[in-house]
Amino acid sequence: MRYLFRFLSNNYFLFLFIFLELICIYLISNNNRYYNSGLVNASNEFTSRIYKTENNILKYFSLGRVNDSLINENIKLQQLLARNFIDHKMVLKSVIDTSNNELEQIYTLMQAKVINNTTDKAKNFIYLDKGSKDGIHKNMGVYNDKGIVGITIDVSHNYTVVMSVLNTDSRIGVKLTKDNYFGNLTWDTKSSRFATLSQIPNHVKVNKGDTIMTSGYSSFFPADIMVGTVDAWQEISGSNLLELKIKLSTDFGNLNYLYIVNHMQKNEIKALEQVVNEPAEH
Amino acid sequence: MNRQNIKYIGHFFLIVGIQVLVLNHININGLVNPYLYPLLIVLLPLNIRPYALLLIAFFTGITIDAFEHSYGMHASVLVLVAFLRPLLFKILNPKEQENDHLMDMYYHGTTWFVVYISTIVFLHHLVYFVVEKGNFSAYHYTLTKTIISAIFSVLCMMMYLLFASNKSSTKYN
Repeated sequence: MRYLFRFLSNNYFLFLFIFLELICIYLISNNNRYYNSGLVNASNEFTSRIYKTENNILKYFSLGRVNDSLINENIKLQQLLARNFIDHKMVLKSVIDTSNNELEQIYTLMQAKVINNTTDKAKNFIYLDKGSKDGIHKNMGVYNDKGIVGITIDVSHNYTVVMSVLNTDSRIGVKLTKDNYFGNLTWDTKSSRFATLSQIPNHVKVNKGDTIMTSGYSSFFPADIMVGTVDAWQEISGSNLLELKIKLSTDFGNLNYLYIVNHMQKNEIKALEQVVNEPAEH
Repeated sequence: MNRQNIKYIGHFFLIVGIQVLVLNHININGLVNPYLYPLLIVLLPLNIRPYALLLIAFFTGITIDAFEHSYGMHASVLVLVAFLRPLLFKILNPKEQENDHLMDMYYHGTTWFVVYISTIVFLHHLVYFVVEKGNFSAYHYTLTKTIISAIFSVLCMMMYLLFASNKSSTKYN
């Protein structure tokens, strides 16, 4: 026993090195399950505060461009207001039944500003300047007027970390708009403007320029949010599936203000999923 | 808490600040990724206690990781480089005078220092880009990225040292 201790203390440099490396390997391999722990939240709060300060200084350089895009988007949204439409069918009816108009809001929106963003790593994250005190939780979809951006993964009191679509762990349910065939959107780290969609059967006729939108099958995003357009496709050898190369409609180099969408019935869906995924007991 | 430690903490904050606010945004063509923080390991005195070397490396790595949400990556590479530093000294054979102060490496003489810093930076970048990629495929790209980033990093470090040290040209040569 004493010999062992002497051996350890003589070579403590090597053993300390191995011990620290094991801690690092544990941190790296557990990155997926490490989200939302207390230590990560505290460090996110601290680093995000520094990013927010930097952003407060640098945001003045992009004011003109952001203003222009906001005005354009306002115009598009104003045009969608119901008062700008006339329903021809209603004009022809003699009796108009408006007593059953029950609109229940399923998705609520919040807005946040990007204070840090990367596009060049294998796993890219976006930092936002709103946090749990503004009503943001984990697992909410994030998008902007051009397309989807990612999903919130870490929320501290004042700041949020979003896992970008440009992240090897990202999986978003999307569909081919014209045919409704659906699959998961993933990223292969090759370019910040293209992502990959697999799981489309190879009998589907795909054309360059076909739009891809969110499918609404997961509780992160509502359906029909723009994702991108088809750029190329090839058959996956050895299966009857196509692999589509999707040109993303979002410009990830230029993110400013983002919408965060909350699915009001998310907990109910999650509870249902857990019941389905548990092994059946007979 | 003598003057050397306080100076080192000052360097730590300054270098981490520059790295996080400026250099992490630089990514030209996907190939140029300058990293300034290996300088913190380069500058540590020669006869620092070995456990302090490893712990400082680990702590620096974790700090840089916190800003990139990549816990463990920079830390693991920096600890490896810190572990290999004594081995490197055996090979490179620095002169024996006055090795217990912070910037003594820098004051040793330019050629030796450039060789020393380039080796550490190249080793660090090579291991980091391989770990970041995760596998050895596309090794041409990774190797090119290592060499170009290492050149830029060494340039950034030399510029930082020019401004942050008070090497007077008459005292040492």
